[in-house]
Formats: sequence, structure tokens, C-alpha cells
Amino acid sequence: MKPNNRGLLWVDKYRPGTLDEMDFHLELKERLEGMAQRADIPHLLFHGPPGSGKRTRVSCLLRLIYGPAAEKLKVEHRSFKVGDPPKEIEMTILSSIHHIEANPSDAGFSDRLIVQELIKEIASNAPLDVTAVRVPFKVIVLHEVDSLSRTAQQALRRTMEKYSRTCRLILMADSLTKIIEPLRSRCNLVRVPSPSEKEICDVLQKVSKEEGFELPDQFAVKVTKACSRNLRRGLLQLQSSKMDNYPFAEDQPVSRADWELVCIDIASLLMREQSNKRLLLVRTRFYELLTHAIPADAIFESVTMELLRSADQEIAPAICECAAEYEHRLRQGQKAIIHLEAFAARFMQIYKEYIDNQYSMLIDDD
Amino acid sequence: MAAVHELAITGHVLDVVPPLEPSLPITAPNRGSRRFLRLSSSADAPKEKRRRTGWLSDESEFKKIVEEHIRLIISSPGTASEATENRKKCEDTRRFRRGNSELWVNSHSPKSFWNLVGNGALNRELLRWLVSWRDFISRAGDRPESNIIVVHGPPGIGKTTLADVLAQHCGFDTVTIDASDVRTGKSIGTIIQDTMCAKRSITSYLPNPDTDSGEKKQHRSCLILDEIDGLFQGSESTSAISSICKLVSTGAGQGAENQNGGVPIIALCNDVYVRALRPLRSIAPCYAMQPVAKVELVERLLEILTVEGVAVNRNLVEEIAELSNYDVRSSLNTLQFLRDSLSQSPDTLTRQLSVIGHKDIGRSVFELWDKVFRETSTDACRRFRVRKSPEEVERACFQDIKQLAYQVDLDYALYGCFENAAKVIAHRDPTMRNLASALNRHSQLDTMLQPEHSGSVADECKASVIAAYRLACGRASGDVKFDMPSVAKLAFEKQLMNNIDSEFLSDITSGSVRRGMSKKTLALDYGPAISSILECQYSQADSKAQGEVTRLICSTMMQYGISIRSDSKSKPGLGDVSFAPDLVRRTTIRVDDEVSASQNQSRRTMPTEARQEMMGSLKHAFDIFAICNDYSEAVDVAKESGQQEDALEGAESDFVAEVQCEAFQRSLRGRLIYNEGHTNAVIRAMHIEDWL
Repeated sequence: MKPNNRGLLWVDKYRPGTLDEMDFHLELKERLEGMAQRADIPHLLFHGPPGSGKRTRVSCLLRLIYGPAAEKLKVEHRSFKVGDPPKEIEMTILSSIHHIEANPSDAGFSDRLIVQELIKEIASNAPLDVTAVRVPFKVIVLHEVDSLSRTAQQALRRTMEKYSRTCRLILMADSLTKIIEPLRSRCNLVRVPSPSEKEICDVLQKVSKEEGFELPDQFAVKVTKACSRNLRRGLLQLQSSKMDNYPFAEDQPVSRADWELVCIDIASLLMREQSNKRLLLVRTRFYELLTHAIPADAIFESVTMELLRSADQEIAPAICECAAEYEHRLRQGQKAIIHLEAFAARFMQIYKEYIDNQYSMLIDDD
Repeated sequence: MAAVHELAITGHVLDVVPPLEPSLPITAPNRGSRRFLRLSSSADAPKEKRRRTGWLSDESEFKKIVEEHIRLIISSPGTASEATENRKKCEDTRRFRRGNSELWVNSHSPKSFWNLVGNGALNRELLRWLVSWRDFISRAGDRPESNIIVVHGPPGIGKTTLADVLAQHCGFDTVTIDASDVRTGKSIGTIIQDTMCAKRSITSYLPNPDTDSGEKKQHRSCLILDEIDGLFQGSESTSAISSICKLVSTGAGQGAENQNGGVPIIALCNDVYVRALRPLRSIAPCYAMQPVAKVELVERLLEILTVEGVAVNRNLVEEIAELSNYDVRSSLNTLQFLRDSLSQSPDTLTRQLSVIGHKDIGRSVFELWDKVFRETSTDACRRFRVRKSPEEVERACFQDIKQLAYQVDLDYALYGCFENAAKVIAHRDPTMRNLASALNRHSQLDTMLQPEHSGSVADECKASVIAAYRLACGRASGDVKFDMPSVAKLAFEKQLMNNIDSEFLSDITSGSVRRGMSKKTLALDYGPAISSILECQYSQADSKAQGEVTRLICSTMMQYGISIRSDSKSKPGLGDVSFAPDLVRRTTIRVDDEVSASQNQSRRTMPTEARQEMMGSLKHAFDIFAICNDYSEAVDVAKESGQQEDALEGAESDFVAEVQCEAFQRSLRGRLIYNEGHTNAVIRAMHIEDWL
């Protein structure tokens, strides 16, 4: 693992640049290397939880295929005129001479048009001199395919077949379940699982050695537990903990992202009192999070987990059920705050009923 | 011809048709119809004389009648020739009415004070005010308390007519400024000055009122500012209003000196609570004009129809009046439009009415919220007048609320429901079941609301959600105050993506793409981590190294393209989201190390009193800024009020500095401030709203 000049954060500084530098998922490494050697990759769909190294692997793969030219990236802000009536949509695109990266889900509900337009444009002209280049196709990397709308995914499906001669797609997603079946069948699925706790520990230790500071095993384990097997988060947490207090104290808490703290706070607010007034307080917290661009599903997950941790196990199924229901609606609906709020109100109602029952049972027993 | 109703009042007769003798048209009390007051005493006098002196000669007697009949307290000079001309006018109207293309609204509008419909008390109040002005100008009385009054009310109930009639009645020339005129502060000032000067120069030539000979009229001017709420919207608003305020107050000063100053100003508007009118509201008495009562309106409409020779069913007229929300102008227009078909069968008419009769006025959201949250089912029963089963009443309410919802800003109303529901039903929802179910419905319907949907489908959905709120949490008792949904949140929700994109994520994306990561990752992981790391670095560095750290921070942020707000005083703790973007205040950092360090030093050590004093003067300066359009104007105002010019200078330089700083920051793409608090208030000249 060699440090590079990619900035202040360890997570970028020690990001592997080639497949050989990879610390874990070595069997995956072999498969990717084989693919690159043949210089003929199918459409790929990388999936796996956040912080497991999908993106790193994709960029390594591209480097293997195209050589160092794939690393010379330039950022483009392009505006597309699509739709009827024509609407201008701005899109940030990252491209090298061989490939192009984009995140079409940023375009909101016009992602379908972007997908159609972008891919058609890239794919319709083949690389200029086929004989000169080892690889006769371009690569389009699409991030966060799972948050594309259904229509956009449908649009992708046809394009993939039509232009497969001149371009290959590499899709990336957190979860397969949100991707439609036809897309899955057109791609070679590559699962990148989260690293195990031990692997994370090892990486943390490695980084500490490179940086030249003391990392007690105890604290490394603590960070590993706190990051929920998300390596990126783990490294960031380690770095901010170190900034916070070094050398590490015995009982030093791992510093967490502030949005997580707010979510924990929301959960405890919900647990402590159930009233309309409290709901209004919770609402301001939700707004605060949303205005800080925290995705609503992350809020949902973190609050629900926290509630499940502290609430009585008897009502856990009910909580899960209503959380699932509102999370589903959140995906379908437009305004996140309403669903978050509805969930909070429903939880309060359930919890209150439960507490009241317990209380009256107690009185009956007496 | 209709039968002649005669009402004998102390020897005078009220006629329904204009009598041959000179008469004065008045509005019958509590009815809208016109009557003609024949004066028995004046009937004997020769015509010539009457024309010249008019009612002035009979003032005492006239007063008696008025007191007895209309219970009017004040005297009126009327217009001299009106009574005699009245008959001629009537004949003219009748002669031309068939081929007449004039709008009924104009031809039948009240021409004299006695002819106004409705708002009797208000009319008299205003007349008293204007009469006292007349007395003051002719040096017969003291200066009235205010020289501007504001009359507000819904459109079409005769505000402009009232103002015109009043001015004419008291013998004022009117100068009207309405929305079609130039409306900057300066031009209005000029107009007001002109009217004042004109009056002054002419009054000096005026003969003694006793020898007033009809030929020479006394020139008195009255300024009517029509449609001031529409007039002053936009950028000119503050300057125009402030110049009016200024003129009103300086007019008062002059009046005390030379007994001459001031013009009575009548300001008319629909909505007096427009923000631009705030300063005016505090200095001028405001009168609310109500729509004309139904009986009076219908009576008057019927009478006009009779004059026009159209026979109409009374019920139909009532319906039209109701549909237009008792808007006189609108109902008259409707009647004129329907003139030819009025004799058709009621069925056809009703159908036509459903298309054209409606007056599509903006209903207030409060009305809607009231219905959603407060109306009990008994009230609803009473409103629908029929005894129905509870289900039917509920259904009717549902429809009714939906109807009403269409007339207001749907998004706004819906938001109001969402924001207010928890508060409004707090005291009668201990189990939280109602609230949970209301929010559940809202969430359910939100999933149906797709962005691709056309306007009507979306509107239907929204209206249904509002109605659903009633089902779940209607019938709250007690007096509840509704909160307006905060505009910030509204805008935020309306364009959640756009807003954040432009404020925060656009920064992130450009940075992130360079490193190949998604927005989500940045917001969840990178943002908080970077902010806390940088903050720690900053707070741990000593004052000398801080400059270096600042530079490092800026470069890192540039790399990642993240804006950061860090607060060096408080550590981010529970519930303290402290990384960027802070949507409320954009904060800045002085990147120049030495300047930054020294400034912070000086600010930190500044004693509290001095700081407060500075804050006070700055606040004043910013207030002035807020009222005025530009700096030069602000200085003028400040000079006139003779206060803290230097503070203004200071504010201005800070203002400029801020703009430069902002521009600089933009080019840097990284923003950070530490030491949040009073110091920023000085820099934060851009955020004048914060002061207000």
C-alpha cells in the first residue's frame, strides 16, 4: 500500500491504484484480471454494500484494460436538451478518452431521458481507429443504478443490446433488488461483499503503520464495530478520532458523523415522550437532516435501528412493519418529510399504546 | 311604470321615480334602492337662485331632514346643481338605454354621496374626516389628525367610487394616481408637491367664502392613491411608500406653521397587509370596507334592471349576487352580459350562470384551514341547511373543502395542514391515533403524486389530501391560531433537489467527480469526517499556525469541493449538525492570514458596551438600507433623520467588502468561518433580512 498525493484523507491517500494492491477479495481480483487480459468484458454489474470497494475495483479494472490513459480524467459539465417540451438538464460527467462516468440518477425524474441521450451519443460513434487500439469498445460507467427510476432502467435495457458492439456498460449498485430483472440478466453480476471485521482491522493497522502512529488493537476493534463493515467509514472515523484525541484514550468513543448523532437523538426523543409537541420537535430535526442533504433512506434506517435497539422486543415486529411500509412509500412518493413524519407519528402511537397496556396490567396485578 | 311609493318625512317626499321638481337622489335606509328626496321648501324658490346657491342656503333645514332620516351627523354642501340636473340625466339615460354601449357599471354607479350602497357608518366616518379637512382648508376648523387614510376591502365593492364621490361631495378636485401611472417615490413626491402648491397659490386669490359667487370655484385638491397594494409591489415599493410616509409627516410639520400645508390623501387597496404597506399601516388609520349586504345589493340591482327595462326574477338576481360574493361590479357585469337571455327559462340560465357567474376570487387559506380543522359536524349541518345523515354531511364537507381548496394556493394550503395538524389537535388526541392516521393518509396520497402527472391530476390529489386531513383531525374545539407554513421550508420542499444541488451538492459533485464518488457518499461519510477533521486541526493549531491551517483547509475543501461551516466555540455534539451547508447563513472566511488574525483579535477583545453601541448604530444603518433602494438614497434619509451617518458609512464599506469577499469566495469554492457570532454580523451585510 503506497500513499499517493491524493489529498488529506487517508481513505483517498491509501486507496489502491491497481488490483495488485488490493487487501481483500483476492479471488475477485483474479477474475477481474482474467477479464482484462482477454480485453473483452461483458456488461458488468457491480453490487455490494457501501464501503466495500466497488468503485476502487472498477477504476483498477479500467486501468488494467486501457492502461494509464484511463486515469487521466477530465470533468465536464454538460447540458442536455431532452424531452418534449425540451428541457435543459445539467449533468456532470467524468471522462477519459476511453471511458465515461456519470450518475444519471442525479437528474431526478428525467433520468430516463439522460440515459437515452447520453448512451446513444457515446455509443453511436465507435472508437476512431479500431486497429490501433487493443480494445475495440468504450466503457460507460453508471453509478447508483439502483436509484434510477423504473422507466430509466427500461430505457437502459434496449440501449445495452443495441450498442453492445461499440460500448460496454459497467453499472454499480448497492443492492440488486432495486434493479429490474431484465437488466440483471443482461449483465455479468459481480458481487463485492463487505470486508470482514478482521480485514478491516488489518487495513486500519496498515494505515496506522504508514502514517506512523500507534493504534491499539482495542481501538481498532472499536472502530471496526462502529463502522458497520464499511471500510470507507471506518477509515474516516479513525482519522477524525485521531484528530480528536491522540494518543487514543482507553475509553475514547469513536467519533461518528454528526448526522448519525442526530438520528440517535431523534430516536431517543421518540422513546422518551410521545406527544404532538414532541412530534413537532422531531420534525425540526428531520428538516435539519434533510437540508444537510442526508438521504431520507439513510435517516430511516438509522432511526429505525436505533429504535429497535432501545424499544421493547414485543413491539419490534410492529415497528419493523410500519418502518417497511413507510420506507416503501418514501421510494414511491415525492416528499421525504411526510413519510418520515408519518413514521414517527405511527411509532409514537404504537409505543404509547404498548406502554399504556403495560401500565394497566401492572395496576391489575396489584 | 312602477307604483309611486311616497314616504312623507317632515314635509319632504321620497319618490321612486325622479320627480319633475328638483330633487336629491338618496339611498333608502337599509334598502339598496334609490329614492328621490323632494324638498317642499325649496320647491317654491325660483329656479335661477337655487341653481346658484344650491343647498348651501338651505343648509340648516337640510340638516334637519338628514338628521331625522339618515341620522347623518354632519352637514353637507352637496353639489349645487346636482338636484336639478338629476332629472335631465335620468331622461338621457332612458333615451339612450337601448342603443347604449356604456357599461352599466359606469352608467349606474352612484354619483352622489346619498346614492352609495352599503357601509353607511364607514361612509359617514370618511365624509366627516373630509369635511373637517374642508373646514381646515377654508380656515374654519382645526387641522384633522391625519392627512392620509387607508380604505381596504375586496374588489368591486365601490372603494374607488366612494373616494370619488366623497371628494366631489366636499368640493375637492381629485388627483388620482393608480397602477397605470409612474410610481416611483420621486414622481409621487412631485405629484403631491404640485397639488399642494396649486392649492396654495389659488387659495390666496380666493374671495371671501361669504361672497362666493358660484363662478369662481374654490380649488381644493384631494389625492386618491388607487390600488396602492398593486401599485407598490416590486422594487419601487419601498421607496414609494417611504416617500409617501415622509410627505405625510412633513406635511404635518408645515401645517402647523402656516395653516396651509397638507393634502388629504385617500389610499385604496385590496390587501392592506401587503409587506410593502407596512410602514404606511403604522401611520395611517385603516378602514375595512365590507361587501354590500345582500338585501341592499339585490334591491339596487333590481332597480337598475327596472331602469334598463329588463324584467328579472328576484331569485335569479339573488343568485347572481351570491355567486359573485356580493361584488357589485361583478354582478352588474354579469347581469349586463346576460341582459338578453334574462327572460329565458330558469334552467338555461342556471347553466349559463355556472359558467360565467362565478367570481373566481382568491379565498384565504385561513378559511380553508378553519374548515378543515375547526368545523364541527353540527356546524356543517347548519351550513348545508339540510338534515342529512352523518355520512352525507361528511361527504358534503369533503366536496366542499375540495372546492375551496381549488381556490387557494394548493401547495401552500397543504403545507399548512401538514404543519398545523400536530399543533391544532394536540389537546384532544392523547393516543395520537388521529394524527398518525392523518399523516398516514398524506403519505399514502403522496405516493400517488407523481411528478409526471399533469396539473389537474396533481391538484386533485392535493385537494383530496386536504380533505383527508379533515376526516382525520377535523372538529377541533377552542380557539386555535394557525401558523403560516414557513416559506423557507416550503421552497425547500418544493425544490428540494434543485435547492440543495445549487447550494451544496453542485459543489460536491464537481469535487467528487474528480475523485469519483457519489453525492450520497459525500453527504453521509466524507462531509462529516472532513468537517470534523478540519475543525480539530484548526482548533488545535496555535494562533500563529492558524493561518497555515486555514490555507490547508481551503485547499482541501477546494479539492473536495465542500463548503463547511465550523464553529470553534462549541464542539459538535448531540443534535448539532455543524457541517455545511448552512442554509440559513452563508458564512465566509478571510483567507488573508494576518488580516484575519488581527481582526479576530480586535473583535474578541472589544468591550461589550462598545460592541453593543456599534451594533445599535449598524442596525439603524441597515434599517435605512432596507427601506431605501440604493446607497445614495440611504444617505439622504440618514442625513434627514440626522442620525449616525458615520455608521452608515461603515455599513457601506462593510457592504462592499462583503460583496468582494463573496466574489472572492466564489472563485475559491471553499467557505469557512470560525468564531461565529457578533463578528459575522458585521460582515454579514448581505443578510439584511436577519435584522428585520
